Amino acid sequence: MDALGLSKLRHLKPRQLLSQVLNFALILSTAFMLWKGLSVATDSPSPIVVVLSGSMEPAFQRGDLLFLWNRNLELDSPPTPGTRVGEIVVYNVIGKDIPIVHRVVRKHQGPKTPLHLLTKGDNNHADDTELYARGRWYLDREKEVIGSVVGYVPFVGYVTIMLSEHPWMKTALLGIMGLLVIVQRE
Amino acid sequence: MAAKPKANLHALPELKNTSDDSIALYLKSKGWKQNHTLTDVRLVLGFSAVIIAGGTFYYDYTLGFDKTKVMTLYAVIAYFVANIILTWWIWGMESGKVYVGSKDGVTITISSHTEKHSPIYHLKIVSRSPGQRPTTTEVESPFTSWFDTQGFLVEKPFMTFISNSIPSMAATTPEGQHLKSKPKPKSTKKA
Repeated sequence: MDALGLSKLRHLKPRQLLSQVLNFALILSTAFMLWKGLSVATDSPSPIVVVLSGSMEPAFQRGDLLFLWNRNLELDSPPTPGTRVGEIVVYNVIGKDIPIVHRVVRKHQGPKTPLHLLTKGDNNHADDTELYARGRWYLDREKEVIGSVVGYVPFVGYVTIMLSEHPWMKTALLGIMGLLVIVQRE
Repeated sequence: MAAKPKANLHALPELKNTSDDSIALYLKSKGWKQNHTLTDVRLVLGFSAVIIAGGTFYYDYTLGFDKTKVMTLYAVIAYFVANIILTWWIWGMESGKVYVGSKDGVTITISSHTEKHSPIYHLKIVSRSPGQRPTTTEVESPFTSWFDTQGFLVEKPFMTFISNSIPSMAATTPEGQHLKSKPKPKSTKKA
């Protein structure tokens, strides 16, 4: 008699639906906020980057994951430990979108004035003046560099290179994930 | 047929969740009014955090890192504070409660749990009547008492189990009396 109630009412559960949505949203938002927290802590818009080219071999290979620190601008007085010659920095030239990982080979100006750098890839013959904005022979530490490399994990970033260079892999990955969702339902 | 609650007999969490869900449905059919405060507070806390993250994403995406740096810092702090409160709410306040509801002035709180690799459903029922001290009842029963061999939840034995576990129902409901006259159905039990 009352037994009928059970099966009928089973469909109306907005709170359970919302709870499911919330669980999923919390996973995404926590990942994003951890990234942003790291970003704010290191003062870098992109505190973890993947090496895309072989221009720093043998120090870094394609696919190495780098951790950046961007609080060494040398703007304070007295200056805090700043960017040094020999350090490896990651920079985005204004107007170009690909981050470049190269070593600092020279410093122009210094404390209190904008710090300018000259960089070069260990595996390149010439320095980077060619890569800088038109007519410029230096890199602005504050505006263009997104951080100095303070740590790395070899190779684990290779997945992202594979995915961006072989778009079919993205499709395959999405397909596998979709299949898993369907299979897990039942 | 298709709407009948069904669980995978080999997944303990599924057996528990299906049973948990059925408690609320059964008590509703018996005139109990469910109190959703615990769930609602959790949803509000959780979605506030998600909205903070969403807003951070939007401003970061449209304005860029440098302009939003300070705001992002506060947002990150607010997000994790909201998450700590949410965690406290889930562990400290909800802590396994699957049903809070009232009928005729009696308020009951039902919590359930299972132990690893053990097919026993444990219920703790705290019943509060006005002017009396709350009574706590702890009961347990194997899932096989109300799941059939295919994993469908058989309503009658489950209702009997629930109504016998709730003090204010045990004496009055037909299911409760039913149990007194007959032994608990064991026919669905597997070897």
